[in-house]
Amino acid sequence: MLRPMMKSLAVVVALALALTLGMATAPVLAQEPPRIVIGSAVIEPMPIAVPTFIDEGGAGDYAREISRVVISDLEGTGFFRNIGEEAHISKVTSFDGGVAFEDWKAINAQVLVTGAVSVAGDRITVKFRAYDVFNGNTMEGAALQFAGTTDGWRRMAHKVADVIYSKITGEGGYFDSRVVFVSESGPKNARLKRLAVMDYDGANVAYLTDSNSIVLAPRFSPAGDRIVYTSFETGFPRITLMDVASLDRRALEEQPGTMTFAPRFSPDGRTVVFSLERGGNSDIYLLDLGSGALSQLTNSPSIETAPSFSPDGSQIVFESDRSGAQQIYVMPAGGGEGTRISGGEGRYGTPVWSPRGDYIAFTKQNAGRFHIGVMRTDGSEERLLTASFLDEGPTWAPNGRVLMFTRETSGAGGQTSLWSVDITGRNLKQIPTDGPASDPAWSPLLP
Amino acid sequence: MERRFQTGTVVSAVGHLGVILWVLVGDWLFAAVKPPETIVMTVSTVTSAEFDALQAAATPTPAKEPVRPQPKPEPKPEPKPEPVPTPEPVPDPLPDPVPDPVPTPEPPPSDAPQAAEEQAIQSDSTEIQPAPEAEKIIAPDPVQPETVVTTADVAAPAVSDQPTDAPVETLPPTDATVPKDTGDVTLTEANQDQTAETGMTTSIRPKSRPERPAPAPDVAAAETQPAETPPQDSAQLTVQPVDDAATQDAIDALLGAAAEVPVTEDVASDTPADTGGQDLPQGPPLTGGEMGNISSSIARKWNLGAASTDAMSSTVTIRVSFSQDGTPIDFKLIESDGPTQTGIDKLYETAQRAVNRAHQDGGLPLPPDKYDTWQVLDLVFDANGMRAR
Repeated sequence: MLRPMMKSLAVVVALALALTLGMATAPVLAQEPPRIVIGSAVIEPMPIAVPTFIDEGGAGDYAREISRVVISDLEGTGFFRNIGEEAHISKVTSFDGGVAFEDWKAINAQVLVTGAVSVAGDRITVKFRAYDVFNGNTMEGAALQFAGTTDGWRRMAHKVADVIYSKITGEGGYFDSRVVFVSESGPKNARLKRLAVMDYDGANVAYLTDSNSIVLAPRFSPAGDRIVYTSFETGFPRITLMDVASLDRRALEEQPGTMTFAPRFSPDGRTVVFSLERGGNSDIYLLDLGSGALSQLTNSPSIETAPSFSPDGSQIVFESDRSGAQQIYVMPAGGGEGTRISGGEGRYGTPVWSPRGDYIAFTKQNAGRFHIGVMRTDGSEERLLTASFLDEGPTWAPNGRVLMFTRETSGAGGQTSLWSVDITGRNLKQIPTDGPASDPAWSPLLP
Repeated sequence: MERRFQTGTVVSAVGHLGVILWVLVGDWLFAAVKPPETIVMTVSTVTSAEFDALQAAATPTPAKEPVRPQPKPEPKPEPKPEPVPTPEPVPDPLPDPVPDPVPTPEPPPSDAPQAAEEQAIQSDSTEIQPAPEAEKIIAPDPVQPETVVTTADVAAPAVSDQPTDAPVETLPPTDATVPKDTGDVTLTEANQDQTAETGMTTSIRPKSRPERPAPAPDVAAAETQPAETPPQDSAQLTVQPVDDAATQDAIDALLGAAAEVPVTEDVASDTPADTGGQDLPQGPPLTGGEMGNISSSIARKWNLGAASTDAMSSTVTIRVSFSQDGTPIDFKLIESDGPTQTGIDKLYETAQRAVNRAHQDGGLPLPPDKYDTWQVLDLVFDANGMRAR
């Protein structure tokens, strides 16, 4: 009797001791360093240094011009500020030479980009390295070389800038891309319009059509090799397909007594979604480019137009005035009623799904002003980025970070122009064009 | 007693006994940490008259010095010889660089005009410029460490060890370069106050579809632009002004809260044994003010200007080890939260840069007598607070 009691007591005492020691030692073992929350930050362009690329033979002005384009691309994002060469302490004279990081730290450069260019015949080679100055090493994956023909030197510069931008920010690049737009001329009430393409920064403009007929709303195919647009060549608006290389074009849907407009490719490039007007009613249709099969996606007495696929091809966002005012709706790619996602005051139109799939850009008219805005795909987090007399028709950069759109000034002499803005609303700027321009559509990143 | 009650009794007894033992022997086994002794300084008051007298007593000597100069007229020639020797060394280095540039850069100018002309021409061709060949990876870091002296080519030293005469641009953020930061709310064109220039009363409605042309198709009609839709009546304008004062208050509150966040049990349980492989010595704790100073000195260098949207939606906690002179010597990402790994990685890079830059620009305000405490710090970088909305 006594023995079991003693045994129980020993167990109790042992447990009590263990508990006591555990309570006492736990806080000591869990000792952690002081924890400090950094609750604010500065939002300012990152200082970078891009010394003129080194001429490694025959490069001539190419080295300087490529450096200039790289700097222009990076500074144009609003994310970076180039430190002029007059402030550089170290002079980079050899691509493979040493880098005195202390000298670059001293001028507060956070990233250093060195490069070299060589030309042999019509072949040009561009190589570069991007250094993290404070870590004192080359940024991972930012030591590359491109080669090609000399007439493609601008593309090489854009590619260099794309890599640097991508490595620093974590976003995809968008500099090596093109924009198709409507180039305008003549007075406002008799404007002549023709299709044109240019680099994203307004350089290398080339015209795709003459100005004998009105053209509207061009859109690139996912591969960037074709364009669909609305043409008035026959007197009626017709969606038309053009091959960019050969400029061959053909009307896609020519049912008598109908108008077709607002075309856009599906993500796989095999079908085109557009609006077809018949008897005063507009609905959205899908055309298979291979078979020519046509399928109707909406069936409503109201105006349904401006369709745009989600990047995965499963949904379509469009605008409709079925509620009495233009609003934005999302429906399955196979068609259907659609769910309204815009809920604020005013009218919403020209929705475009982001290539990243996270946002939908739109035009909003409210209280006598026009805005370009973005919202989540369920309509939440609506954010207006611009405000003016007339802003409309946003198009996404390939990385889903920047929007380009048309801005028109008021009055009889009002002019159209192209503008771009970051989706945070910062870095609003005009794209340089030879004359009035409208209806931009960004291409995918070029191969 | 039933067996089912025995278990409860035993557990209760163990608990009570543990508490009793803790009360009885706890103080003996685990002596309480003595609070740091209060430093007492004796202060004596001095009247203003006494202070003036002390100052007067201390200053007279420098006042007399200017009186004392023994201006010999002759010393003036001395400065003249001084400038003479200085220019002498300058010409010495010059001859070296002069021959250097001669071999290399002179040929390029002949190419220059050609390239410029070719590039300026706008092509009528619709073809996209030829794509560059697939990228070739260059040896990532063939560059010698900066400590190694690079043997100069004949042309010129690869990198100078010493600053040249070129003006060094110091780059503090200025009003001109730093966009106006509105805190949480991004100031965009859309939420700015309207001015007379930008304001308007009416806008035309966006065209849902093209205007149907006249019933009888006419080629001439196609060349004219469709009639514009008439302006519509405007409704009330809703503008969301940014309240700078409120934003600043919120930032200040956040900063204050950051400074006062104590070491919590949650943190300990999240990362129980990860102390960077170090035994963390205990020292006198950092005060709220000291932690606030550290936070704000890093915050001033934490630049999110080039951060991706994913990075701006992320939070990272990094464990930083410091040497005794306050140099950050080791970084470790110990906690993270965000939509993508890329975003987290980029935010981590910005955090590292912030600490390094804060150290570079005068150092972090780390109290020297508390090295044991700040030898390792956990720094939480929450970019969500700065996310544009």
